[in-house]
Amino acid sequence: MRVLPLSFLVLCLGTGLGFGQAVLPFSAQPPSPAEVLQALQALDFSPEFEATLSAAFLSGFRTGRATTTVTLLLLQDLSKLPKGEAEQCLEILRYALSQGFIVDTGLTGSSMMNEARKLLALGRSGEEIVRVLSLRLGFLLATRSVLVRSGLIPPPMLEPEAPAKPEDRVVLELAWSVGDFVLWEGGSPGDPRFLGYVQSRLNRLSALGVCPMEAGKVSALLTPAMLAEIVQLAFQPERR
Amino acid sequence: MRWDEVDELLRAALSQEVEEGAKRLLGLEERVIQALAQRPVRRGLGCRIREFLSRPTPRWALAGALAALLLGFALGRLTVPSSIPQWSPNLFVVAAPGARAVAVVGDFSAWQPLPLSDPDGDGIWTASIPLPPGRYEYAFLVDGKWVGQDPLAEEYLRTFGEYVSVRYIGGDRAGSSS
Repeated sequence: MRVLPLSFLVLCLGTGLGFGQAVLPFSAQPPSPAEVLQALQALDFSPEFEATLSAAFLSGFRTGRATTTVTLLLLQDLSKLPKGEAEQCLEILRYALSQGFIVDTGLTGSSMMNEARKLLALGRSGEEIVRVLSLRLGFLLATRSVLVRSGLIPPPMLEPEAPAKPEDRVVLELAWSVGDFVLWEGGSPGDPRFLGYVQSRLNRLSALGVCPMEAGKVSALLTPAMLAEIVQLAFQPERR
Repeated sequence: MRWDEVDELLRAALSQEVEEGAKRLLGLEERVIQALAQRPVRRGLGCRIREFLSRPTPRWALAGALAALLLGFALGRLTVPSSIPQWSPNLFVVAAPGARAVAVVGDFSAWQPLPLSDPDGDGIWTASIPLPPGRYEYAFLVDGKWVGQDPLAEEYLRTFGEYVSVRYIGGDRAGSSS
């Protein structure tokens, strides 16, 4: 008779333990891909465009090139822009993903998605956001092109399900650094501060463990001519 | 009064006392036994716990079950395996006397406003945000107005004419930003 109440208490303790462990992560969990697709559906694009975007984003989530958290926030923001501009923004992101670029690093640094969110927070128009994203894409393409041609990174495989590689992060951070210098610091390709600015940032990120070890090697081998070429190619897509 | 008369009086008084006392002694033994039987027996704690466990009433069983559930829930919350690393908090401070609402926006929040607080009303608004190592751009919103130049920032960027502060979190300069 005494075993019964004790067993009941142990059962209650176990139930509480399991329930307590199950409840906590809910608030900290990122949104599910299904939630992102639902937000995409709410933008009311054509079924073809929606299907292409869905495939690109889902692949991005699986391969570590995008996160559901920032993507969902961006989609919610884009719903406030004119439909055409929202579509252009998303097409740039889709193309970047199809080219194997990281478009979103979550909440830990710069990326195309976070850049778009920043510009929206600054109250910039959809047209300006499209222009900046298109320039950022240009810097990504130009950076990878120059690094591959210089033999500093291997050529991209461009397989849809290939997981993001360390060199993808190097390309992102180098392209961002070059873009910040040219777009926001008002620097020119011939500026003597250019190389130091880029190298210092890459080395710092590498020391923090944000960038892979490859970033340090690339940084050491960069030359002013390579940076100038990246800028030229970014603004002249026909030469890439 | 003569001494023999006093003796007589004392003897009479004593014999009266003895007679009255003898009446009170009648049934004393039964009364003592009854009183002892009515006195509660003082039992030990272990004895009482054993008795409690052997006779659980529904009310106590429910209370015990509820306590076990709550204890289990608390233990579950404390022992949950979290995939989120615990980063050291970074202090964001802005002096905004008279402001009604102050927030910080940045890469770490996907540019969503995170509120700062000023509990003592001295105009110094603060927020402590745990962040993993990285380079973060951010700005403050003071009553909705963009304030991009934080004196504690390591760098500034100018985007469309508005400043954005930059901090590197972690590594050898973590202390400067926390």
